[in-house]
Amino acid sequence: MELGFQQLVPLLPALILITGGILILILDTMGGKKGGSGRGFMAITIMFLLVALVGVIMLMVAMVGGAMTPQTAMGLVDVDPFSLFLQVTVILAMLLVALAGGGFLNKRVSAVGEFWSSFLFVTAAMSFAVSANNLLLLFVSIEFLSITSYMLVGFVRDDLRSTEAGLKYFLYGSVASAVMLYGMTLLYGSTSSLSLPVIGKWLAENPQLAGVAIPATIMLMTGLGFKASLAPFFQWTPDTYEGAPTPVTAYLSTASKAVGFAVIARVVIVGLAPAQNVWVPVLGAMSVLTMFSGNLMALRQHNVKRMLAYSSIAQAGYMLLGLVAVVNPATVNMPAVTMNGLNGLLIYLVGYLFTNIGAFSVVTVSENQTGGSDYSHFNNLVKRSPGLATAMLIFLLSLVGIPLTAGFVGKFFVFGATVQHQYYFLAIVAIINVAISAFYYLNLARIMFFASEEENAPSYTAGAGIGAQAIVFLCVLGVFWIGIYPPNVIEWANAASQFLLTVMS
Amino acid sequence: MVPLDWYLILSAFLFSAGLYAALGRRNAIAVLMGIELMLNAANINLVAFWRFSVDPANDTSGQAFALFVIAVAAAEVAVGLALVISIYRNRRTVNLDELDILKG
Repeated sequence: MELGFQQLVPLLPALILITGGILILILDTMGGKKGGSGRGFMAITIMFLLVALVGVIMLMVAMVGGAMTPQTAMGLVDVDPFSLFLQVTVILAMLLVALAGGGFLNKRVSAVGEFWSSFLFVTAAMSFAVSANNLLLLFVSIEFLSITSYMLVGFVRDDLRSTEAGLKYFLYGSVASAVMLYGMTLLYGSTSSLSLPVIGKWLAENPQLAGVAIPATIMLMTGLGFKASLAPFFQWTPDTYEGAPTPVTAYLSTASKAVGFAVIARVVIVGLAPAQNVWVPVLGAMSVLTMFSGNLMALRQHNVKRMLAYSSIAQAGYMLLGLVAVVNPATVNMPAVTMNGLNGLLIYLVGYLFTNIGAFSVVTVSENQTGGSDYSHFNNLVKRSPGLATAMLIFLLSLVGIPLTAGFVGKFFVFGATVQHQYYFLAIVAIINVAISAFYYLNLARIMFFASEEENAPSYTAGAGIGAQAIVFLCVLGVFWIGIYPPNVIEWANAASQFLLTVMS
Repeated sequence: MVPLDWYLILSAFLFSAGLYAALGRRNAIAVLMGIELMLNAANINLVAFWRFSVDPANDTSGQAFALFVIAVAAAEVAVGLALVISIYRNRRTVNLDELDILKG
């Protein structure tokens, strides 16, 4: 195969990120024993993320406008509307996290050079993972993403909670990915191919052997469900989210989760489409289980990060509904349906990105000011910083799914798709869960606004960082942008989802 | 030639042993060893499936995958051991039952 520069152009954003990571490592070694300054590395990271973001947005615009055709670079990396949409999402999430949490991280992390280069590498790994159409690249990029994430979670070495969270994440994660790898080998053994489209074709041509898809699907879902923290593979989530440095938690709950869903979507839609009677019930059951376990456990939490962790499990359950609703034999002309489930999932992911990064940025600021993230640290937040309290309220309302917020639009599309494809049971379960979730989200809102006076207000030690405040403001704008005027996002999500669904049908 | 089934049985056995160690042992190092066993079971599968595939001479995908898995496993162990050591330095234990600051 000829490897020309022309073929590398669609990969440029990811290559830029890797270049940035290597550059930081080199600068760090050149800085001598003391290493470089955290601020400098943070600036380089943000710069490279910005360039990559502009790059993927330009590619996406060209793709949606028809100036560029979907292509497969080196037979491994799909550059199509779907992968570009997710790359935009993921890089945007990492950029927001770097801006909001950079100062917080620089204060706590001892090896800043390694930290920021890993931050860029993890972004590059994500952008490969969402575009891989081959089991080999899929496995390697997911492992790349996971291993770097384990490091980032456990990076604050003298914080017992951070290292413990890192080890727990590592142990759960490696078992899950080993199981996933075993599932991949079974798929490879039966089809003699690692390429997802070829596997899909083979399964379509040999329906009598679709039985191999059952163990393979279950094993693949173990590894991918772990990434997206779906039941029953979510036990790591609360511990890791609570122990990890808050900005790292913010990206784990948004970007990393988006990657998990993107990979699940690509694997089941491109690779396992002919075996849909296997994975639709599996995903449906996982979704119901995920929603209930996340919401019921979140009710009894006393730490905001832990509550947001369980809430992110529950939200993953809602998102998974979008994938379940992708197929129904009764719907004949799939791409023509306005709510095809997949576009609901994508819109949900973008809305959730703004909401959750905003919420975690508020937690970051509060942690900086009060030294903790328990509910008691949020007592009367409105008196200390009315702006932050109002922003947090907006994020909480968006997580519940109140109209005019991003959460509502996402839920509308996902639940709409389940109704349109006649999965009424799932829609009812989802609505019940939204009602349950309102309790704990609004409980936090009550504590922030109406805590009784005698409960000790936490002592106030530091001012809010300007970066975090700016990002909180940006995220509020993002939540309202998607909540009030979503056409742009919907248009791109439609382009992305229809591309993948046309491949399937 | 040894038939494919035998390889698959061996790999299934290794995988189960690894999963048992990973889920059952309380020592972080033993869990790491279990994970290694699972990855190697997958490697045996990959190479065996490749050897018995339609055209092993021209399609090296299975072998290539196995090589990548070996490299990834090495990276994973490096990070895993680093995490275990940083925990051991602080607490003088690698027993997973005693790592309970974060309670579920």
